[in-house]
Amino acid sequence: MSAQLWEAFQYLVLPSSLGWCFLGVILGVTVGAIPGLGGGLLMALLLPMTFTMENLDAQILLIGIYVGGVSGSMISAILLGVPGAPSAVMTTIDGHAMCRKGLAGRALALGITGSFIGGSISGVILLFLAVPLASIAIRFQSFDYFAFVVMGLVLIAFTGEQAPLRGLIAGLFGVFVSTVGFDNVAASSRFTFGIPALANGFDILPVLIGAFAIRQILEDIQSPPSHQSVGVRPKLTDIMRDIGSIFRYPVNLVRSSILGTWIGILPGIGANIGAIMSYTVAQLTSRNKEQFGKGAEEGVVAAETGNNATIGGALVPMLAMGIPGSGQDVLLMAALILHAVEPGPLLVIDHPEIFYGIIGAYFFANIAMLIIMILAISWLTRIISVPLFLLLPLVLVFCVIGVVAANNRLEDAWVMLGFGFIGILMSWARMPLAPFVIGFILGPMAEERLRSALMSTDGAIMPLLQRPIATTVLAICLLVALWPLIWRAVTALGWRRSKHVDV
Amino acid sequence: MQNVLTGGITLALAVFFYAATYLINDPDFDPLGPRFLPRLMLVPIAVMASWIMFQGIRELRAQNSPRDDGSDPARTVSWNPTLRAIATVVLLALYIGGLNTRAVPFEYLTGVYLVGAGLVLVAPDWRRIPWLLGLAILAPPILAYVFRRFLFVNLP
Repeated sequence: MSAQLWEAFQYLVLPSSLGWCFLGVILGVTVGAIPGLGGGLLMALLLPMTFTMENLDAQILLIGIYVGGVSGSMISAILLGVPGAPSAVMTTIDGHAMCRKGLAGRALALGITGSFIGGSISGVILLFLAVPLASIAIRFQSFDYFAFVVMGLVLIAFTGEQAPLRGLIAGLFGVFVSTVGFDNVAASSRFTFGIPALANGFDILPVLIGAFAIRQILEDIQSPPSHQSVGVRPKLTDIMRDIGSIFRYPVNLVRSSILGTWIGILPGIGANIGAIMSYTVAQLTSRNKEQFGKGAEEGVVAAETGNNATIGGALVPMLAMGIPGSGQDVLLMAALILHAVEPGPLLVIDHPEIFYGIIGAYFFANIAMLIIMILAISWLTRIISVPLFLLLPLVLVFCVIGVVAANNRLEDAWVMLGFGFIGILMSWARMPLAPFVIGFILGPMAEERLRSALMSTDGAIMPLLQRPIATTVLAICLLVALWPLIWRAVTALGWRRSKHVDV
Repeated sequence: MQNVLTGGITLALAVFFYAATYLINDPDFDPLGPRFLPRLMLVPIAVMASWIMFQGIRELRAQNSPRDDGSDPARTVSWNPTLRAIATVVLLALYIGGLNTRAVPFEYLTGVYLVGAGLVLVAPDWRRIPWLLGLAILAPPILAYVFRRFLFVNLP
């Protein structure tokens, strides 16, 4: 392995390989920063062009875009409060709150370094544990996936600074909204009321950008960011100090990296869920829970570490089994097939240079992302010093085009506006937005997995509860949901005992 | 009052959509059926909304004061920014409507929108208008070129 890895390394340090890597990351960061556009769209557009390139060069370019796209989405999330992609939803919550406190540079520095560390740790896992982990992951069945999704839904109530009751309503409402449209299993329409535009349900991007962007922009109009936040332009020394401060959160970094990698390994679950899980677990285990949603550094670190770690995780089933871990992995596999290379278990035997080259390219893309984004921080933070009368209309135009570009459908802009209104109403009702979006993302997955699991057992629930992974995860969910009651009972008991001793 | 309205509206929506689940065609082969998940969500939403409404009514009765509506007393409504926000949303709706008609090319419509939305935000500081005009002239053709040429977006 070491000889093959060394060969791959020698190829990756060639000027042409480095050029593709940096080009990919720059393109990915740029596209990822624009709300609505993402690395996936750019990868799909560039895929035909990679046919004329060397096989490994094509992979280097596409992986660069993939890593750059996921990392770049934090830029608009932190600076504008508008997530560039679904994977940056959780970064928006605390990242933008930090930005409004005048800590935009610090939020970016923590996010970038978290992304780098998350990517690197998942890269190490990818290098050494790809085959055994992928073989475990493919044993997961529908009900196990369902249990993981339920865990995400249970954690919804703890997301954000608002009252859990309103958070839970927002989360359940998000799941409900995700049921609108054609139901594939039963082949029947739900809540479409005969409106053809609702037949396909709502796509994630118009919902996400509408709910976040319009609400945020109206908030900016009503209470513009303070002069303090606008005036701060970090110097390189400040940035380096901020980068160093990420090591105050070693447990958070390692936990979010492992969690993100594991979520990435599970096929069909994307970077957004990696970020959601990492963030919610960080919040649950934090000593400063009340700071989450108000600009907690731990929140930014967890979300960014988690979402970047999913990339390495998603590469595991692709390289080891030939099963794409995410939508972007499908494009990477397509690029391999274009060059007559069959992705799958034999890839490491037949084409070790490609196998180790992809892993090496992932490491190099993370390093390139770190360098490019750190050098760009002081420039990026200038975005928020652009006067609002120029910035806000332009951001809205970008949101509209981004939403339209995703599916090339102008009607999606109306959906975005509609969810903007829902976001405004939820703001008025003091309901947090993040649980709504999380519910919307997780809902379809939960329903699909549960229904397919029950169909496999002819509707019997008991065989499903005998699955150890699912049962353990569901037991944890129950414990988390009941924890406030248990804690209250335990403290009440302790108080009575101490009172008894005093008497 | 805010709690009462929030709870009341949410409850009404939950009841309405629960009733709408009866319109969903439910085949026999699926153990859960397409009605299961929406109902599973709507019932707890209705229960929690009722609780919020009940709390709101209790607060209203207990305090019986015009300020006790669940809102932050320190938060006062300033009409100028609120009107600007409303105007921004209305302009955005007109812009999206204009794009959907495909009657006006993207570049012109976006230029007009940028000027309009910018004017809503700068008024009455008219010295900033040249900046706004500059943006409205430069940005739309660049955006149209990039999105049409490189990202193959079907813009009007």
